[in-house]
Amino acid sequence: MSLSVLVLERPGRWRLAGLSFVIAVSLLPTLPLILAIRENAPWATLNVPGFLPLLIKSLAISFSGAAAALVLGLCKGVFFSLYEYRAKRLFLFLFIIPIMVPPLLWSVSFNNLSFYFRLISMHKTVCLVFITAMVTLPLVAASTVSACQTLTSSQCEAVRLTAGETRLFWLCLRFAFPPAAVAACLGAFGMLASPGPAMGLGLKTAISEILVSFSALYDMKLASAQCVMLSASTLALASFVLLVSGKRPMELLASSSKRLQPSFQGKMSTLAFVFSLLCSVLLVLIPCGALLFPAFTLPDVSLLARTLSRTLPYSLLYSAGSALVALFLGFALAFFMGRFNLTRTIGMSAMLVIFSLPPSLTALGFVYSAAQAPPWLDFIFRSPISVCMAQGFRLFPVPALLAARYFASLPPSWAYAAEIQDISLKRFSFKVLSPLACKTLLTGFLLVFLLSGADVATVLLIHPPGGQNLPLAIFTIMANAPRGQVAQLCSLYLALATIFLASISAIWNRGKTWKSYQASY
Amino acid sequence: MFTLSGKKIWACLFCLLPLMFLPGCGKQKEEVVVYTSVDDLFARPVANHFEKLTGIKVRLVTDTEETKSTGLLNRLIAEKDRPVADVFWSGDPVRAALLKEKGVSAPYKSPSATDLPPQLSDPEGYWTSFSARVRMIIYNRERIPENQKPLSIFDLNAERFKGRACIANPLFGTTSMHAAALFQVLGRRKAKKFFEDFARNGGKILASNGDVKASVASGRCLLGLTDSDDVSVAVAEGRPVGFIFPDQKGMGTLLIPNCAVLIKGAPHVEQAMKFIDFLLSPETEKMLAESQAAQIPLRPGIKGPEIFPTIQEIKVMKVDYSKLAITLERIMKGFLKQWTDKNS
Amino acid sequence: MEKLPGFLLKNISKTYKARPVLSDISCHICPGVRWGILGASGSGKSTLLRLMAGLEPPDDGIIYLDGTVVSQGSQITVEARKRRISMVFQDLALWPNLTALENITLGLGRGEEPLRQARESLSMCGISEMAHRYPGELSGGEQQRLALARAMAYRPAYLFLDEPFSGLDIEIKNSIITKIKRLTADHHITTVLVSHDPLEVFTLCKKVIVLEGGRIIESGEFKSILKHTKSRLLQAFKEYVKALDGK
Repeated sequence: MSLSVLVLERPGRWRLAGLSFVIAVSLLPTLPLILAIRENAPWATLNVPGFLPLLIKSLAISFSGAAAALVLGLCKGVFFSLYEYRAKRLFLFLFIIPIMVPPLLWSVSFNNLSFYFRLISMHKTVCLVFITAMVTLPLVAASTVSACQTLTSSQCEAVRLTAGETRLFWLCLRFAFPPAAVAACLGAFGMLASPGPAMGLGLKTAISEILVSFSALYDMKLASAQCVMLSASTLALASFVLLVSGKRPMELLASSSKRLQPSFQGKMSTLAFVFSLLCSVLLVLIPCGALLFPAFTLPDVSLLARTLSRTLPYSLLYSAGSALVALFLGFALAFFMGRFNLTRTIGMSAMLVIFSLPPSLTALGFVYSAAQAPPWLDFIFRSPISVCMAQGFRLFPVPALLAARYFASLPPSWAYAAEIQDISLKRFSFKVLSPLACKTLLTGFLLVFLLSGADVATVLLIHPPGGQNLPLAIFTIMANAPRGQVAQLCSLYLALATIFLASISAIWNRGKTWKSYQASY
Repeated sequence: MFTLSGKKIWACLFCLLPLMFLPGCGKQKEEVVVYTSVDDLFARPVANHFEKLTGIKVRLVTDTEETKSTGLLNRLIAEKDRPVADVFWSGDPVRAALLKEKGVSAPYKSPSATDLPPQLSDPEGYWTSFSARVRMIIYNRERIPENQKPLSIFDLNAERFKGRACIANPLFGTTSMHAAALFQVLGRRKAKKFFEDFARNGGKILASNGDVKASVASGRCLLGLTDSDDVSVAVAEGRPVGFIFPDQKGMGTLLIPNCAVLIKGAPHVEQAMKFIDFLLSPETEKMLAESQAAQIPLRPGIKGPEIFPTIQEIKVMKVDYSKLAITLERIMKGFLKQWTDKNS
Repeated sequence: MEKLPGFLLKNISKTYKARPVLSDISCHICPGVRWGILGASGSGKSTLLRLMAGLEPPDDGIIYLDGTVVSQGSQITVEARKRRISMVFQDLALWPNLTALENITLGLGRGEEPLRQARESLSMCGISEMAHRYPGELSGGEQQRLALARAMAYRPAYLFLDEPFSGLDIEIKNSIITKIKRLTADHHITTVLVSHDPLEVFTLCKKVIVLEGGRIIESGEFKSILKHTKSRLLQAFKEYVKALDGK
């Protein structure tokens, strides 16, 4: 018996069941460690009075960075949506760079800045806020662009004619604010879970305290309890943000009508160009330059070649594999979320919490599970699959958001028409839904591909012996290798990611087929 | 014309899946899995050499600096019930002792170790020491004249260096081991006083030994405590640094030997033992001495790094390495954690 | 009474998010006649059509089709695909990544016969030369005709049209209405048109059901209803016609 197409449009308890299943699967690896805290619960040793101020401080830093990213990302997104200006695509690429690089390296970059250019020496907390803003800004800008796409050309023209360009800009900012705020939260929570930048700057935060519990005290229970506390506060904050933002964040997921087309608008286009240029220089080019500057020494070509040949296959494998896992889980979650407020709220809250979990928690959970599992399951638990799964389970919220937006953009009438014409769900999915999901699939794949490369902690803990990827190789030598060598490897990594991005872009732009029906969709 | 149907898309996606299995295939019979906390730069050439000599494939798993990630030791402990690793090559005895305490290691007395000093190894054979680093004071030669250079770790608390001394985070790595050694040798009261005076004198706590090296070399700090391999790298890079072995007229300085550990339940026991025999051999000590790690051989008669004297010429702290892990665990959860929380 | 041919609706109600959209709707849509469901925006017309099509279940009431219970309570007992209906939606529901021909053959299946049927349908609607174009490459009127061709290709017994003429100019609208009249007459298809425009309904349909506030306020022959209408919409329409006549 085949499923009806109308299942795409129907509510039901099965959606809740499906959501619960997907969320449970993604949290399953963390279960061994979470369960461990039940025995001889370490709440007494949690030292809440000691940990709580750190938690508050970390939240304050993350949200300050997110707030800065929100302001800049909103402007960037609105400029991108409304106006055509010079070098628009180049700026778009530059803005993606911060999420391509492991966050710790940005703290290295800032340390280099103060090392080479002593005048530029910022307070550590300011540096961490800056790094959070850098990494969060692309997410905010992307969600702003998404939100602006729900506006129609005629709406914007009407405001232009009656109230002027500035008023239009301001209205768009206000319009895109709620979903952009949610995206800023996502970025903030992601940085909360990343110990690298804080440790690299020598700043104490909640996540660095968790790292101490793991690495210095070897107290798994305490670390797990701290993670639970971190996630609980994240969930509380996420709920608050969603509540305050109202229904509008769902417009991150809303349907699109006729797309707003950017146009040249004289002074505003010039302003957009100048703003993008300033942001690119301050938030991307200078930190990149500081990171890569030491690379300008004579390279040890044989070492670079050996490192690359050893790590490149695994780099591609882990990134591609985790992207695949994340895509499957993300699309599944989005499918179960559907168009319904309850399931969307549950889904989005779960995504925010999962994104805030420290990667080490999932990774160590995998290691424990592998040790308990029978040897015949080693092909899953002790192979590259485990790395792909661990990273995919953590990063699937990214394609889930994109997929949710895609599903929400499908007119319900399509499913109705298919049902009336007796088209099975399978055939409808293959012939109609999948090709149209290409852009979403590709974007989700790309984002997870890049983000997984930046996740060193998971790879370190789970990779099969001999299966290092390039970012991990950089991290294992950076302590004692010459700065130039580390910078050269970082340059190599960035160059490879850029080539990959460019290839995907070239594939996307090919073909008459896309343009001919994109006009109507 | 480029077209994509739904079937093609799903076919592409599913085709990629089997690739995930590929690197797991073709497991060799003759292989040994080595986890190491020694820097990849130094460990990999040793592993490669072993491969060349014996034909046994070495699958090396290296670690990041502890302050950057959760660390390999947690992986070893988590894998305890069904280990992946055969050998753990530790950069210090504390981690080796911790593994013994957690029941992760197995005893093995290697025939290669007969001429290594036994007092530096576990008496029951759970870990065996070889090639050592030494804790040193690194100072900026351009800012500190020769006649004012520090001679003791207590000089870090001297008035003339107020606010210009630095150490790495004492909750991690060799600095934590050094802290435990101070508690063992000096006693609780004096050790606490050292740290409290350091904080009172405006001493800085940096993220890692590498940061101490970089900070002193750049002149941001005038002096700091670090390991000999960091000093060796700084000197090789031509940085304006000097170094001393602290307290040569007093308690001596801390010796940090490498340790070879056989993992309990190792999947490739025979190969593991061969690798440990190789690690503990004079050849490896020579290799490590000649590398940029500049590790000092424990055996007499093996030429050490050019820039450092031999082990016999250095006064080392009299430390009971097998009890160091217990001391460390105690102070980590107590004074050291509180002190770091207060002063970082 | 339940054995009547066509659609028989008894005490149908539907609520969305605690807001009643349809309340106690009872009517009989007999076959062989072109019907119109008329009402202002938000009166529940499209909802009623979707309930009849089996795309959504009613909250209360029973729907019969040719004497068989097809929806009862909150259950759909006969699925939409089995009701021998075709539907043209307000947004046309054309799949943008499939050509005009593929939009029709997707549900017909593979093979020569479905292909022939699809081409015939395109030809009936006067757009056979557009077979290999994508919906995005067609004009508004051509898209409407494609949607109609797709609906007709399935040889339905009932053709539901949910405000299909939105945004079309009067010339194209008239030409499509003419086509619908001819095709439905030739193939004995019962047409149900949902619209808020009395002129469209007047042009195409013989009988009409007028909805106001989710309830049927009058139904029957359009011309006779128009004479003594209770509906605000039709009264406004009469005023408009008078104004055009200059009376």
